[in-house]
Amino acid sequence: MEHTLAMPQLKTCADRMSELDDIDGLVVRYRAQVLRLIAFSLDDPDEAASITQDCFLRAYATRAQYRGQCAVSTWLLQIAFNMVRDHTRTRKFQFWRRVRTRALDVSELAGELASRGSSSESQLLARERVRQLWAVLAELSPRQRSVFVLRFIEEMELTEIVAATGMNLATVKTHLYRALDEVRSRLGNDGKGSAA
Amino acid sequence: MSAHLKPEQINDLLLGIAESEATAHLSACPQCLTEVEAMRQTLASLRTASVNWSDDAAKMVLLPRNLSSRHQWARPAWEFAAAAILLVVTISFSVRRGHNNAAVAKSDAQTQIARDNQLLADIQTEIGETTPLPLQPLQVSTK
Repeated sequence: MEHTLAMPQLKTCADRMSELDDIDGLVVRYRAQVLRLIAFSLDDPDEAASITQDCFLRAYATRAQYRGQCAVSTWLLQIAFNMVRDHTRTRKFQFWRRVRTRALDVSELAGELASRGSSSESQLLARERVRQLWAVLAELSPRQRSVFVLRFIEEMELTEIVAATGMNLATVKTHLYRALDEVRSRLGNDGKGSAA
Repeated sequence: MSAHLKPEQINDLLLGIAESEATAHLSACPQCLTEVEAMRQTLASLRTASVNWSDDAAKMVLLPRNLSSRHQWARPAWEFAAAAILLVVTISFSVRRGHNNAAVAKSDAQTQIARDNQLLADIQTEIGETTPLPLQPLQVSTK
């Protein structure tokens, strides 16, 4: 089973830095986390896999620049965030954004809850909420989605998001407030309303 | 009881940065608590679904050892430096060897030319004789 949720608690900076020397181990430990940020930010799982690979190669090639100042996962997500930003600025992305047909399959995503619910009714309700929530998130800008993912999926503290994105704290908060306002208004005040 | 929580207070609660006043209100107001808990549950469901999805989807991300051609670019600089040095040594050795071969070839040619010249000189001497030796008159010894 791959490590996807728990952050490895390494004790020293030297441990963190030496972790970067093992690129295969690095990919195995963090690829799901990096993929989530890139895939959800771009809303394109196919392109995300390719960019995730490039992200690890870049991390390995520039590992000498890592000083152990933050967790390895934060450093990787920082690289991933920058790559998403660079990618969304390209003309290629702008073009395919308009004509593409392969976005993240929300049904597939919501279906991941199917085997883990307590009852069929609660499973259906949870899946429907996820579907509605993602429909709202899909309309946000890639940058807003990135920040939302870092906070609510990766459960990073705001200061960690600041480190990963290079934004200041006020900007991070603004993105999150706007996203939450949109989500809450679309899902209804009690969180159970119906979204478009 | 005072008015319900403001939207920004609910956002702060969801972000985990709420002030104590909002937290206290939540414990005393079932309506606000229901709203916040419903949102927390929805966000938790999204997180669970996302993590489950990425566990499978991440298999599309190949390990570097499977990226044979692209991984070449990720090799340490010292490998490229070693390869470059080896290339330079090989080229210089080849050039030097080429020079040596040329010197030997030049020496051989000069020897051959000298032999040819000697042969031509001998032929010229023989041709220069007016009467072939067998046809020359016998020399009578007076002793």
